[in-house]
Amino acid sequence: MRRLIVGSAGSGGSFDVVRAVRQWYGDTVFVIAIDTNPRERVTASLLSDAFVQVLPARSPEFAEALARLAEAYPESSYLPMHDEEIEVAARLASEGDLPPGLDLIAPPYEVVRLCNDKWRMHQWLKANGLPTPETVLATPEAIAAVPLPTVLKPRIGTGGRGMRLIRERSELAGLASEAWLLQELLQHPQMNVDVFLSRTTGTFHSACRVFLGTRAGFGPATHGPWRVFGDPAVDVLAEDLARRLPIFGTFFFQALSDASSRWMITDVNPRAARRMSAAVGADFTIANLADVWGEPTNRMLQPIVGEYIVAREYTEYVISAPSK
Amino acid sequence: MRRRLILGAAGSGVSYGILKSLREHYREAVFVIAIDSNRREQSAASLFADAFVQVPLARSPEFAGALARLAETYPGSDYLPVHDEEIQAAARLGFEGKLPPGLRLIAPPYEVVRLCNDKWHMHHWLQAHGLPTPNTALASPEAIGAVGLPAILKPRIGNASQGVRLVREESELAGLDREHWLLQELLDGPVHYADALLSWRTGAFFCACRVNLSGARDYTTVRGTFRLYDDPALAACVERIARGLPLFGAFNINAMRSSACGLCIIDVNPRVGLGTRMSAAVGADIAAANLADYWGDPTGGMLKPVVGEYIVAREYVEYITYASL
Repeated sequence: MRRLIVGSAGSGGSFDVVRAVRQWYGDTVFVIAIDTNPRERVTASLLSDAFVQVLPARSPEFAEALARLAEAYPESSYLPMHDEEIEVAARLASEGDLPPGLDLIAPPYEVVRLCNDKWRMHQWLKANGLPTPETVLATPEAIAAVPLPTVLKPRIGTGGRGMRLIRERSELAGLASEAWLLQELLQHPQMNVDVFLSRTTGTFHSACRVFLGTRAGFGPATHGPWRVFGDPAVDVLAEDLARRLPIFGTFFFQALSDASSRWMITDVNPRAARRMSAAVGADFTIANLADVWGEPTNRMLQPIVGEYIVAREYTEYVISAPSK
Repeated sequence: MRRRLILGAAGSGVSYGILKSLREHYREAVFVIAIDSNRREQSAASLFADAFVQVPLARSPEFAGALARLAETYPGSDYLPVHDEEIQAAARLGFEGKLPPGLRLIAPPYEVVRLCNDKWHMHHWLQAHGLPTPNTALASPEAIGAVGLPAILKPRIGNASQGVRLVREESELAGLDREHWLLQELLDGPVHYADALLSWRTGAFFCACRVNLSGARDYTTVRGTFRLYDDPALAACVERIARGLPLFGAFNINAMRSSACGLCIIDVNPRVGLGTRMSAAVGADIAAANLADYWGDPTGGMLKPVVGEYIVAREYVEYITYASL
């Protein structure tokens, strides 16, 4: 029986992974959910065969925890899901420190680092002729010269955390210039692009998503309707990005449009996004795993013809109840 | 004839939750007309409704006309407004005798709705009734002396944390209209929630409490894991609010901890909350019981008391509402 260790299992993304595995593979995959929280805080544990609480990926003990997992569940594939966890696991692999028999499902360390550092990614996009918004490190000189309003964002960060719109230069006082970026103000809505590039066949697939609901500032889109569609021009951009990095398997990027309605890439994430595209037949999450396991992905990645509206709502799971 | 229910703000997660509850307990016995200011395909609830009607925003002058057309098309309907602004607009029409004939409104009286929606008035009401409320003042530089910094700046009238932010310096209050903004003492997270029902018919009170285990201070964070538990002290406080206002039907209260007065009430919402379905998951379906109670049906099976402690998680589920084939 195949074994899959799913990292950051308490996250919504990991819940989606386990849900996708169960939908496509039933019980033929033995899933080990791991998370820093206890089992009862992890919905994915309800759909998994085993749960193991681990230390945060940034802790020195994480490598040891992986070694114990590899020993307890030999010949497992390991899918890290949180950005920090992905980077740590990719680093361990690059240094040859991953336990033997653990098959890591993640891009190479260099690619992960590039994706997680928005300043380096900006420079890489520019150097490769890919569209990226005007961006500078928040140095005193840049603060004095940047046109306002501008967007302040952490150089390393996820989910819109720490981002804010700046209207006055005084709001930028006291910033550590190496840790913050100033980026040109672009137009919403934000477009999310799910991308898949096969490790084995080089097959490429992408799908676009735009959130139609209301979001608070730069915060992540939560529940509500999404427009899911195919766009040949974005396909070309996505394929160019994927093949140039290169980043195999599933990833997603985000883009906003500039004053001339040109899409500018604002973030590249080396992991699968939530499963809105799966609802319309393009399941990037499961295609990523099938590709690693050497299986065809065609039936999991139906081409998106026309457009769909996919509404996302909440559903509840009782994880623990008082003993009777 | 099947009962008819017009469900407002059908694009919201709250309405989706209410409709899920209704279908679970009444299945197809109720004909549901979902209404929203957005198009049908932007509302997951429309998939579970029998009809969908796009209407103008509740604050627009055309809203009353839209309700009249609905009442004419679907006579004998009950109307459950869901969005705070919609509840207030509908309650005002009810108060002014301008609701179309034959449309029965499921909402508290206008005066109570206004009180709930105005956080400054509600703060005073709670204070006057000896109920715990955080230190609050109209936002002005002078208020800093009373509230201290850092503090929370929030719109006097608003919902879903829109416009709420942390203020660290007096200069951040510059240019604010003090009549529209409140400065509130910084409380300790996480947010506690009480889903409650005061029976329209019998006056019986029911309450289920929950707290976000992620420790989020933002009370719109409704994904993740929550602890559902029996909290007699919070329930007693919520019952005093319900009977004091009085606030019949389903409602939802948010509270946070203050070092000075323990759990403080920060919001009273005259409707079910976005997270109320979590109580339903453990047998306390307040949204369904609210309708059953209004219709004179038994609610016993819908309101199982929360005994002990549950952990309930929320995740997402996707629905295709439109495909351009």
